[in-house]
Order: sequence, then structure tokens, then C-alpha cells
Amino acid sequence: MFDNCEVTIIVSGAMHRAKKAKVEPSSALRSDKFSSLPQEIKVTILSKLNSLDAIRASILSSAWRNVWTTLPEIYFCDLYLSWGSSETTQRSNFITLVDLALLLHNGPLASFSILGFKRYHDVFDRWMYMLSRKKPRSITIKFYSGHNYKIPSNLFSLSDLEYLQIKRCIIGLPQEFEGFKRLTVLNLKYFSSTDSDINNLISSCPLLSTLCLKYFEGITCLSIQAPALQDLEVKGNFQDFHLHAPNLSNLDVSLDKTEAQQSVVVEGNRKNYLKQAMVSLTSIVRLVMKRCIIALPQEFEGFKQLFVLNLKYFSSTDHDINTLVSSCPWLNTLRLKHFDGISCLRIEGQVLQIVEVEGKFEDFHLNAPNLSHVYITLDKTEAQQSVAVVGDMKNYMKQAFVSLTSIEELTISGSFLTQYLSKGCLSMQLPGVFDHLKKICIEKCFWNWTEVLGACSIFQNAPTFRELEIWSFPRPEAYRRKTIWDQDQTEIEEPTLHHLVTVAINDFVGLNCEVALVGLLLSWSPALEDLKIFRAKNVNDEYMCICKGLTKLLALPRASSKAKITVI
Amino acid sequence: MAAAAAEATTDGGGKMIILISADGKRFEVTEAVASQSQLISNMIEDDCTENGVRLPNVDGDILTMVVDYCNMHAGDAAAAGDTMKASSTEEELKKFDAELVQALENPVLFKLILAANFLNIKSLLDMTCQRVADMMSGKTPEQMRETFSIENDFTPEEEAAIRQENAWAFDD
Repeated sequence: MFDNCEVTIIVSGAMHRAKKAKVEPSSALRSDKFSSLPQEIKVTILSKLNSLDAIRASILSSAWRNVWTTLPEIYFCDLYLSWGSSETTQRSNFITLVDLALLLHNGPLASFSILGFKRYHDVFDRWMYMLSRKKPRSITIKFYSGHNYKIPSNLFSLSDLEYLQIKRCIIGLPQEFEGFKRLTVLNLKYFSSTDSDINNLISSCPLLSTLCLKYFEGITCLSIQAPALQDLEVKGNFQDFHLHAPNLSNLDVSLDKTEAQQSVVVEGNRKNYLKQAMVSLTSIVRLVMKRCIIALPQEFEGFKQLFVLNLKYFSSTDHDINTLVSSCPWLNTLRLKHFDGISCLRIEGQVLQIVEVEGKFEDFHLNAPNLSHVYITLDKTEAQQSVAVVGDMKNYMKQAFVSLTSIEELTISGSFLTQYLSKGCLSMQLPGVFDHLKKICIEKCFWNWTEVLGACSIFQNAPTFRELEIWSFPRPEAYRRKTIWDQDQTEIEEPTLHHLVTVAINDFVGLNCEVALVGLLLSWSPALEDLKIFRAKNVNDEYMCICKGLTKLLALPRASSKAKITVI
Repeated sequence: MAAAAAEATTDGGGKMIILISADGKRFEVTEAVASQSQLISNMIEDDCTENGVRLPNVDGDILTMVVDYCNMHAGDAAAAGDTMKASSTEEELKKFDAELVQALENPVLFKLILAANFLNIKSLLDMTCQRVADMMSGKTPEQMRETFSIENDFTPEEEAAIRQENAWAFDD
């Protein structure tokens, strides 16, 4: 019966590998089992070593002599060659290694990678010439020093290339360039080129699906025509940007931060910048833009598939940003950080789950019934701004928070509590707002009484929250105060935090107000199990009063008999 | 009898496959577990597993390890309909894999590599070859020979010539 089965193995076409492997055991019986491993396994083993170790294996025995020359993928990095006496020897050893490998390699080479921390400008053309004769499908070239390497024309003749990644290069297309018909990934960093060369290169790769262009010079107008493109990342310095990529799902565009001046140029050009690009993005799923102007074209119809929108250092108008957000029906994650030109931020999204807002604004409306994580903070530079907000305060947070019925985690900054919550909203009940809140994080806590009041008004409306995390950020005056808190002595209606189990206080320095707040939390929390205090690092000794603080802290009465205090 | 056993099905409805080692040990595994081997997966497609799959060049000891490995990793390949233990966490798998290869003596490691190659289980082959590569990495040829009991079949003259050719690579 079993014999039958063995016959099947041998005749079945699908069993090709079985037949081949069956021949091996006879040779494997010899004493040197390592050398008699099948050739394909030797290749697999050597391919997991760096090229130097792989070449060294050629001296093990005759069976290993030429294995490395058939590796389908070779990878060089001159960091592995740190042996040898001088820098010059190391460099010349690396050159010999690459030369020999390219010369002696036998059989198909699928992938070639080289990482160089030293300079190889004098031999680069030779390497590229030898490499182009091997016709690899994948090429990765990364240099970390010296001026850019001019890519020789023979590299552009590799018609089978599927993957090309180059760091530190000059891209100039040869006249006879016919395009990379099979290229799917193009990744260029630290390069220089011209508008026409880079735009032609991209448009002659019909299958291009991933494109990354970072830190370039010589390009003023970047025009990307790529029908198959799905992922695009651009970071650099350019003045105009045209994009035609109907299948793009992931876009990350950012201006170089060194180019503060450049924004001025763009400012004048505001109307056109990115506007045109936005209309063609019908399949976009994730959109990330940094240092840009968000201005919607009239014909903008919304991003019907957008899931994530991250905007940083941007300027826009109330109308544009509000329209943008509300015309993305599937938006799940929205991050708006450091913006100008917006005074009333209106965020509406039925499926929004994560919202992070950091910036200056005067009014804020949030209508997002499925929100689970919120992070709101004011730009710290804008202390004056609070005055403008005060008048409007009564309706302000209430309206924003009323829709947050399913929120589970809330992160806010101390200044937010001071300016927005404490005075205006303290007396106001916010019914049912935080019924699902599990975790509250308070960042940049300045240790003012007003913050405690503000925090209390949230605590009182979050009947089930279990976890509190505080990141301390005491202002200098907090160190000099004689009294525990600042002047404000508004009475507090003491809450009982029935469900609070875990509290973490970070950057603790031992100030009286810190100890006092811990005291309040201990007395308000009958279910507290774990209070962790993380001591501040890198604080001047004169400010450190940890020992004194901790001694006082340990003596505090606790409402919960299970409360454990850990100091880390 | 073997045929009857091979017809047996699990509660989840997955078919059972019998694997038979070179020394006649029998292992009953679900189709989901067995088909991590590309070889067996092809045999299942070709319907030639009814009488059990005889693996004439895999010893029982080695096949035990292979079956353990496949049982552990069945979760990532095919979770549906499998009544075996629910897919293990990634951390557990990593720990299991690390313990599996590190405990092995070289001759056993080589046999396991050959079995993984024969059965065509890519993840196991990669993992075992990686183990060998890790043991070679950074060693001088002499140390590599010692580690793996490699028989140096070069004459002293031949070896000197090869070293001379690639002096830069052997210059420690």
C-alpha cells in the first residue's frame, strides 16, 4: 500500500522537488554533513550572511568554494569591513570586494545592494558598468558622504529593473532613455536633477506604484504623471506641484523646513498651490501634508475614501478646512497641528474616531459621535489668546463636548484646562458627556489651582474613568511660591472617583503643590490600587525637593486601603 | 486500516492526514497543519494522501520536531475550522522557534534543514538556515570548520592559493 504512494511521488509532476531531494541522502551519509548539504541550501545559508563572511566560506572546503558566486542577492556595506589597519586599507579592501564580486558572480543576479559610508566616486562608474551587465531586477545604492554621484547612462538601459533606490545621486537622463517599463518602486533621496529629467523619468515608468522623492535640489516644478501610482512621498523644496495620479491612495507631502523663505513664494502663489493636485486624488485613503497651504478648488468634490488626514504647519481658512473635513465621509483619523488662518474650527464626522488638534483657534465645534480618542491642546506661544476666548467661553467647550458620548481616552493640556474649562465651565454640568471615558491624560500640567478646578469638572462628568496620567511642567513661579497653590482660592466641590484605579504622575519634583494634588487624589479615590510616581530627570538640583516631597506624600491619608504607592 | 484512519475527520471538519517517517512512525495531523509543507499541500491537491504520506528520507525524531513546529504555526496559516489550539501569540511563537533551533546539536540541525527542504516548509527552512548563518557569522574559516566539523579537502598548496587570491578577505 505504501509502495503505491511512493510511486505517486515519483510520477506526479507536482512532486518535482521530492524527486530532487530524494537523491541527496546518499551523499549526506558522508562524514562532512555540512559540506554535503544540497547546493540550494548552501546558497540559502550564505545569503543570510554579509558578503564578507559569505566569501570567506569559500575556503571551508571544495564544496563551498564557489557557492557565493551564485548568490541571487548580493549586499555590500563598508561598515562590515572595519578590519584592517588604516582607513585607506579599509576603503581599498571594500573596493576589491565589490570589484571581485561583480566580476566573479556567476549566474543570475536578482538584487544588488551597496551601502557606503566612505567615498567611492573614482570607482563608481566602473561598478555601475559591471552591474548593468548583470541586469539585476532590484538595485539599492546608498552613500552617506561626499558629493552626489552622477548615475551613468548604462544604468538607465536596464529595461528589466523593477526596484530602484538611490541615495545621494545626480539624475540626468541619457538621450536614448526608453523608460523603465517594469519599474514599480522608485526611491530617491538627497539628489539633484532638473524639472524635465525627473518628470520624464517618472512618466516613463508606466507600472510605477511607489514613489519617494526626498531632499532634492534643482527642481522647481514637480509634475508627477503616474497612472498606476499608489504611494507617494515627497519631501523637499519646490515651488509648484502638479499631480496626476488617479489611483493614489497614500500621499505624504512636506516642504523642507530649511526653506522658511520659500513659503513666501508660495504665499503669493497660494491659489494654485496643491489646489490642482487635490482634484485628481479620487482614490486617496491617507493624506499627510506638512508646511502647506490648504485652499480648495471650486470643483473640489471631497475625498470619498479618505481615512486619515494629517496636516501640520499649514495655513487655511475656516471655510476651506471645514469644507475639507466635512466632505470626507469615511474620515477616521484627523490630526491638525500648528496652523494659522483658522479662527473657528468646526469638525464634523460621523465615523471619526481619533482627533488631535494642536494650535491656536478661538472657537471649536466638534460633532463626532463615534470619537474614542481626543487630544486637544493650545499652541503654547499663544498665552494672550485666552483673553479673546474668555468672552465666548460659556458655550465653547460644552458644545464641543456634547457630541463626545463614546469617547474613551481624552488628552488635554494644562493650559487648556486653565483657559477653557476652569472659569467658564466649572459651574456647568455637562450631562452624560464622558460616560465612556476610561483614561484621562493631562499634559504640561502647570500646577495651578485653576487647573485642579478644571480637572475636577471633567472628573465629575466622567463617572467611570479608571486611569489618570499627569505630565508635570511646573513654571518657575511654582518653585518660589510660599503658599501651596497660586492666588486663586475658589472652593472646590470634592468629587468621589469611584472607579479610579491607576494614577501615574510623571516628572515629579516634590513641590508642595504636587504633594497636595496627590493628597487630593488619594482622598478622592476609594478604589485606587496603584499610584506610580516617576521622578523628574534633568532638573537643577536647587529645584529638587524630592526627598522632602516623598516623605510628606507617604504620610498622606488614603481613601482606599489597597492604594499602593510606587516611586520610580 | 490506515485508510480508515486517514478518513477520520476532526470536530471542525478538517480532514486528517497520516504522515509516515522513514522508520515507520505514524503522525496524524490536520490538513491545515500538514499543508504548511508545500510538498504535502501539492499532494492534497492531487488527491494522493488517502493511504498516508510516506516520507522515506525523514526520520521519526526529525518528523516529530517538524510536526510540533507545524502544529505551533498552524494558526498563522489557517485559523478557520481548526479545532487545534487557537493561533498562538506572536511572542509565544518566537519563543518556541528560538528554543527549538537553539537546543539542536549540529547533526540534528542539518537533518532538520534537509527535512524542511524536502517537505518544502519555507519558514522552517529559513529559520534553520538562519541559525547556521548566525553560527558562521564573524568567524574565521578555521573556526567555521571547527564549529561544523568541516573536512578541509584542499591540499595546503590549494588553500594557500585561494587565500592569496582573496588575501583582503582573510586578512584578520
